[in-house]
Amino acid sequence: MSAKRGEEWVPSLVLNGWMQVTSHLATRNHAIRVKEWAICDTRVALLYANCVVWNFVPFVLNSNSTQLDSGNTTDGRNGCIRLAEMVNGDERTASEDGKGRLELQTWSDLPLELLELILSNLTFEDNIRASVVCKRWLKVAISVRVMNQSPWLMYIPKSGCLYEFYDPSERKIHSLELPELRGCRVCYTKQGWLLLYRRRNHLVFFFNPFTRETINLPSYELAYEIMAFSCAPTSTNCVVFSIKHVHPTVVAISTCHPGASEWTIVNHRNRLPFVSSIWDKPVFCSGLFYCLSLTGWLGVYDPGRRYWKVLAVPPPRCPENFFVKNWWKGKFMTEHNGDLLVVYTSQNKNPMIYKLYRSELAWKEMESLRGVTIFASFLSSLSGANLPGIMRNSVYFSKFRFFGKRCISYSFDDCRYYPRKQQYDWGEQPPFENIWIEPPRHALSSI
Amino acid sequence: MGSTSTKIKLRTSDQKVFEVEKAVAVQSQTIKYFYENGSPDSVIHVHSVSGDILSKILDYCKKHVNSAAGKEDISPEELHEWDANFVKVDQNTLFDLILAANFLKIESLLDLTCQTVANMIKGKRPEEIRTTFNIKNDYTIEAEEAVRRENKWAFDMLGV
Repeated sequence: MSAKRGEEWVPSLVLNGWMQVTSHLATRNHAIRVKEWAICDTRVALLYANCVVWNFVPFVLNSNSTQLDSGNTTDGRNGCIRLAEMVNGDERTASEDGKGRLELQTWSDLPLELLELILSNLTFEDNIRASVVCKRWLKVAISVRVMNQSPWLMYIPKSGCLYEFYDPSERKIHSLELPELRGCRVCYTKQGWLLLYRRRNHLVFFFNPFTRETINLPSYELAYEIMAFSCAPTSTNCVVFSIKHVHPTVVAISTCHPGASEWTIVNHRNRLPFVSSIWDKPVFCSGLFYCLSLTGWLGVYDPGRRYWKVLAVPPPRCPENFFVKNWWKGKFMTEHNGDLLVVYTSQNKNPMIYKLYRSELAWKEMESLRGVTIFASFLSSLSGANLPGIMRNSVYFSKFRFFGKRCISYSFDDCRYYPRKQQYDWGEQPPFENIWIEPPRHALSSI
Repeated sequence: MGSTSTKIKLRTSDQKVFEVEKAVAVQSQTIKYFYENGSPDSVIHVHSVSGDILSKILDYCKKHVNSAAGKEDISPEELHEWDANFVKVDQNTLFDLILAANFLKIESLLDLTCQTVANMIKGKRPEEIRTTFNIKNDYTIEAEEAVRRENKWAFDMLGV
């Protein structure tokens, strides 16, 4: 086959060692016997046919099939073969196209796929800073940014079994009929699972509203005590924890796990005055259950050693006007990457966030969440990183306004609530009305 | 042992010829492919790689082949440290190493060099990154401000 230098041939089919090509100069087809070929990177393949090296530029060859996948080229030309050079004897050449990388000598010309590799090694925070370098870096930084899904706010109806789920990232409400939850009290959520209690028959069970799976626990009579669990009940490490104030100096801690035949109940000494020994806001963090007393003392339970202790950490400094109603409903606790975080709200002040410094046994106020988002609800609070832009560095509260158009949130970037209002009094909110829940990926397909 | 093992001849962009033990050379998937698809005694051209860079890369491959084959008594920690020293090079060399590792398809070296560049980006402000890598800012002031505004926290917290 004869070909002029620079003539471009578009391959259309590879079959049994033959490749059909079409010239761009005229509508002529050719079949080339493929003697050998070599792929030297994802964009360059050299083809040996009839002692001619075909510099076969913009294709990704898939060795498992006869398909040629058109790859993206840096020079914008799609699918062509160029006559590159004649082969001398048996010497083979792994060279690049004339416009190849030999001329590239600065970092701004680094091929996109390599810039992708580099930027995908960055933390979320570094990724964001790198995106400001130049337009090209922005494009790549966004493409490798791993985005997480926002939790949904689940509304618990006073009657009936129609449950609404509000997705704050999309500002959309999804509804689900969940007759399984009739007559139940929601106690806690984690990893998309609800922990529920049915008073009528003292049934404690897990329910996943997205998959409709149910996992029962031994029955247990609950009064007002709080409950939490460590991880999804499908995991072998799942522990359920409940704590009850039984006496000014005694708490009863009950634990259980899926598959157990009964609850383990142990009383523990608790050297705190009465009002401080009512425990709330349970959070599982680094293998331990933490809970906060009404007055802000931190209790910790080690489920492995069955050991309860009130830590010698002075409670976080309360905001002004932090009344008794706020002790219970105006504060929230969650964890993020092993750090315990507490949110204090009050009527006419901005929310305050404290982080526990374990080694110093102290809570310290944070001025920024460093891009993390806290989802605060009375029964359980969640945290998330790498959420869509507008949601970062904020606390999302468990209420939405303006006909469901947006959640009430507080932004640490702007030091203000959205929507703007001087104050939100979380102490006045009905606490059992809703709870944040993490939907699985592709949750919409199950709804 | 060394003298009887198969050698592969490589020729670089500056026409330097390297005779390399096959086990070392085939750490590069590109060279492996060329070698397996051609006659064994031919010279393989690696036009996009200079002699200096290829020599460094072959050092890397040799170290890793020897360590994996148990020819060299080196702990994973020591190899890790050796890697860390290997990439302590000037920026131009690092840049060439990345391009060559990509072209020659040596995955572990590509990961190592890309991670090194990522480490140079970590904790830096955008201005510092531009200076470090000599990258021109092609944003308008407004466009740059818009990108920053979306994530104010990521810029406020630096320098503490």
